[in-house]
Amino acid sequence: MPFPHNVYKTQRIVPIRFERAVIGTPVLDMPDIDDRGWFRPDPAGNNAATNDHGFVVGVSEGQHVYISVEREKIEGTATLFVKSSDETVMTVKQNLGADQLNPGATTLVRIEGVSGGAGAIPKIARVQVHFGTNTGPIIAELSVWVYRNVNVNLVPHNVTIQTAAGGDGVASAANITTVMDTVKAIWKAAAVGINVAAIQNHTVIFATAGVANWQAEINTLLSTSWVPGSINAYFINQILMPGVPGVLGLGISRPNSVAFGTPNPGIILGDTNGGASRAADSHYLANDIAHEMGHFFTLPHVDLIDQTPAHQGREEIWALRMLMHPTNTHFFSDFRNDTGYGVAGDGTGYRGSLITLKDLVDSGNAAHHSTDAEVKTSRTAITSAAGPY
Amino acid sequence: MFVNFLKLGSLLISIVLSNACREGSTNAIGLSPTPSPVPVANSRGDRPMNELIQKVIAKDPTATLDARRIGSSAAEPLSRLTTNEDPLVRELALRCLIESGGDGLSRIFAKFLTDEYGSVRGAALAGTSKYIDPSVLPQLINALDSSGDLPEMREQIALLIGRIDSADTRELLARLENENDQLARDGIVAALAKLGDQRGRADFVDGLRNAKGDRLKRYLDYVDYINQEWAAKALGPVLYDKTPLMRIGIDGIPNLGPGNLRACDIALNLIAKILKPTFKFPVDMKTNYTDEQLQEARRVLGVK
Repeated sequence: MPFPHNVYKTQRIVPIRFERAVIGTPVLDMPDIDDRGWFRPDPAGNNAATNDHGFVVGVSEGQHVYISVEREKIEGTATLFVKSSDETVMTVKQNLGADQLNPGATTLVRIEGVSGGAGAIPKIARVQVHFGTNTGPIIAELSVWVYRNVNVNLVPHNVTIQTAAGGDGVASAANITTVMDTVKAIWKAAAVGINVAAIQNHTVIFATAGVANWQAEINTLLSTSWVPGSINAYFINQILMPGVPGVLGLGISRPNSVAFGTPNPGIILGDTNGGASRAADSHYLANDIAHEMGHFFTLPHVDLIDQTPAHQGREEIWALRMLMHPTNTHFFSDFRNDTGYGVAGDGTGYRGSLITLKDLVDSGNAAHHSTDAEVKTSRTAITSAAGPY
Repeated sequence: MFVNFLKLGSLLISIVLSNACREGSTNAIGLSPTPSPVPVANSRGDRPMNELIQKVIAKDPTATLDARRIGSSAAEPLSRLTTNEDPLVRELALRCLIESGGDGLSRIFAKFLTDEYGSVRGAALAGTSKYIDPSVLPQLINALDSSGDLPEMREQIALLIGRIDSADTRELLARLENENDQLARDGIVAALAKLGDQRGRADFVDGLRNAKGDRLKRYLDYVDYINQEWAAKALGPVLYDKTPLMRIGIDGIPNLGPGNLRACDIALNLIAKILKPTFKFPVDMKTNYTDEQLQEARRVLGVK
């Protein structure tokens, strides 16, 4: 059924959009899309060769992802076909395997990575939506960056903290397996696979049951069965830092470890800060671990702006939806600040999980894009001699 | 496919090393198609070794801790596992070798600098870096030439070559002539500079003075890598640069110190490390230095 659309002078009409295929907690084969800005330089520096623009999604070689196709300004019954611009790089089908898209406002397409870049530079092909026939005019494109998977090892530790008296030990109550599954889903969008060890259970003796005090007891934690060649994540009941209430997690990457004299790098997550408990909030914990892993991969906070008492870092949706925003969760309940990742039990919005692909350094706002291209930065760091550990 | 029998105490089990050494392995360096099977351990004393082997085959990252405990006697069975078809097993075997130590490891690691999987290459880089010796130079040159679509690998391999005093700078200069990627060029220039090539040193100083952002951070890392007086003395202009370059803040405790080290802070730390002057203030990796302190560092360099 045609619909009227009044245009005054000129207007750019977008008939079709691409979106992340799910709302809420990250899902392994449903990555976020880097839809920031319209132009991006080709990561190999060869803009003329690709000349693609618009949205970008990251895919692993030999694996598939689902992306949602939204009919924005075109009839739900219009005949549309989906094709890959280069099937040696990736293939794309409507969800049920056909080239023709299902009718309706929304449908999923399945993108299969065929051959990816082995390092930080992807192989690129475009999902193209044709109107009428499979050779009809192209009315939408999604750039697909295919990478060969790189691996990161992670060892989760569940640490019971008891006093010297014994019998009063308190362990983390987090569902570590679920947390790790979500961590994997977040980093999959960068074609980074997480090889998670079995949960290592330990008991340590500290001054107060269930509590690790900064810094001496934290140092002890970071020496507890610390595994080289892996990111070590310690799950405990509570972190206590005098004068700094509300600490739920600490991320100590290699530079942090050198600066502050901890025996090893590591991530420490507390279930509770004495008030709020996050033990049952696997989404929150996973986002925190994935964020800290980003720091291990040398990623800074978005636009190099940290959280302060006055500000939660950059406070607009552009930044809030990124994994490397400094704040999880944020206090902005306005619908315009919905990151698409849902709301935690206390009503605050989850930080997003977007790991940026594009490098918008050529934009008119280039000064604020020094932290772009996080996928490239991460993959370079992971595969370097220094590595992420 | 072959089946290898391992004896764990009184328990005999079979481990299927799936395609561990199949001809046409995915490894791009042409590994031997028929390597020897993983050694069979028979005595009770071999139990830790067997457990280590099992862990590597099972892709358990905690194997590295076992390898560190066992030490260099684990090197031989671990080196055989580096030929496994599964990249995760290859990577883990290499990471275990880094921890176990052993003889002649640099050449084993260098074989995998051209592996088709990035995390295997990363482990190979880490291992080669730790155990580097001059015997590995031909492999490094070969790996440099075989990393055509991986500029980040060319940069890292060039840096390894620069650590071998006997390396011929003409080899690197020839590669520099044909190198178009800035990251790889920077790595080659740093290696040449470390090896004492005068053009390399001039290019390096020029790069250090013109680099911004991530590239400047990389150049500061190169100064640390070069670790020579002339490079430290080239840091004068950077002492004026207050761009944040290295995050040291710890999420959750933002008031613990500065969130970032600036270019000038990193430069001062490098001057302290390489030139070892006596400053009137403590030098550490968690301080944003004052203008007066930065001025004192400039005086050490003899610049305004």
